[in-house]
Amino acid sequence: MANEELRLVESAQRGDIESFNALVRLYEGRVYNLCYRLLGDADSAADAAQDAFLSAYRHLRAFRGGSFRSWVLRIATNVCYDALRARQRRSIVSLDAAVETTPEEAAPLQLANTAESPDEFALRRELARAIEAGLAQLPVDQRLVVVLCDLQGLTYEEIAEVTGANVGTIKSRLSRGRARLRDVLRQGELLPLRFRHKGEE
Amino acid sequence: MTTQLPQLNDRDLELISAYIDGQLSAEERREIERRLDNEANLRLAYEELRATVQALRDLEPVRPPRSFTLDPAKVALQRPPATRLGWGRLLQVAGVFAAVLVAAIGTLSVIGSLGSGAPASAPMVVAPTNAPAPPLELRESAPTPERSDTAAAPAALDDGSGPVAPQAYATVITTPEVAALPEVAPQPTIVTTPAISSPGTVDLAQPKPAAESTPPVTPPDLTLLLTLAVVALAAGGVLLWRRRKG
Repeated sequence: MANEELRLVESAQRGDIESFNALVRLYEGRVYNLCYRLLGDADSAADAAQDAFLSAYRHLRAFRGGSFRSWVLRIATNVCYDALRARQRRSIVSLDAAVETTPEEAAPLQLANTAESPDEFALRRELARAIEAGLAQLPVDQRLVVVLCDLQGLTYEEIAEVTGANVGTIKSRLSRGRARLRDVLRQGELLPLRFRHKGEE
Repeated sequence: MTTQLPQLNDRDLELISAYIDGQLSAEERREIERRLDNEANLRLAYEELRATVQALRDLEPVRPPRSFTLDPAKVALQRPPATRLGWGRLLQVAGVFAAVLVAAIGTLSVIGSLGSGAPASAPMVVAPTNAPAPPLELRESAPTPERSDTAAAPAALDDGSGPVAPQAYATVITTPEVAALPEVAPQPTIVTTPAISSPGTVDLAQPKPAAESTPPVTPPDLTLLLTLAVVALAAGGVLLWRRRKG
């Protein structure tokens, strides 16, 4: 897989657009999800993902090996940061508003399996919305680290590559971001009952 | 219904967060496991944080609304990583070089004029008698004779800045570097003051008549032209680069 990826990168660097598009297909899901979680709405996320791949293509010669995934996620992160800054300057809608106004266009939750009851499905949906709202409330540096670690499954070292921060900083941001989300879930009584019962005792 | 759970300090929070990810050293892991067994509050905080992380990990990924593959036809127009190293970049580099050159010329001019106590008297004396080339040589060599002068004859320095100028002038003229100089040197001295036969600290007023009698000529013009040329080159490079970028 790594060899195939390297071959595609080298071929794309020589100008083969189809090889680059093969890389896009490999990572567009990750990149779009990262943009979606950072920006909070589908349209901005799609624009950012497209810009990120275009930027990656333009700067492909600057890629000097290592993890292509981390490299492209880093570009996507920078595009999202730019979009957030521009949004802040223009004072458009807040992230909270974006999350509130887009539940129907957000990821359509489906029954995970046929064994899931409607109650369980409803609870899962509520939990997902609470997490999305909680993520939107996090400072962007904490949100980024939480998304990369818990939603994208990157290791601390890979997150360091994407963010440019050191592992100690990542640990700190991650723990604080998770703690804030825990508070959100706790307030919404969305943590498993046994923990809430213990807390109340 | 609000739970009053004890808040962990940042250090413990980081520890249990990293413990969930399996990112602790063996020693740290043993320590936190020992504490988790003994401290109910820490255990509860750990369970809550682990449940939060699990909820995050269970969050379903969002499906992209479209593919983000690039259209070869559109991208062909934008390609250029390789071809971008064209005239724009070349002129950019030339611009930087030009700026350095201008700075160097300016510095040399300043040093040259400082070297001779009466500014611009030395080049002006020599210039009229010769083609434009010698003045440049003189200006370049002016600082070095002066330095050797000040080192070799500290007595001249005691007299202040005035005497230094004629002496520097004299050493420039008598430098054996240029074969034509011994012939060139007497000419201005004859024109300005025929009495200058022995250089040194004697005649403080001599440079002045020399400066007044000879009109400004080619050396400053050359410098100016060169400066203008490199500035134009730099400006052109910047303009081209900006146009390409825009």
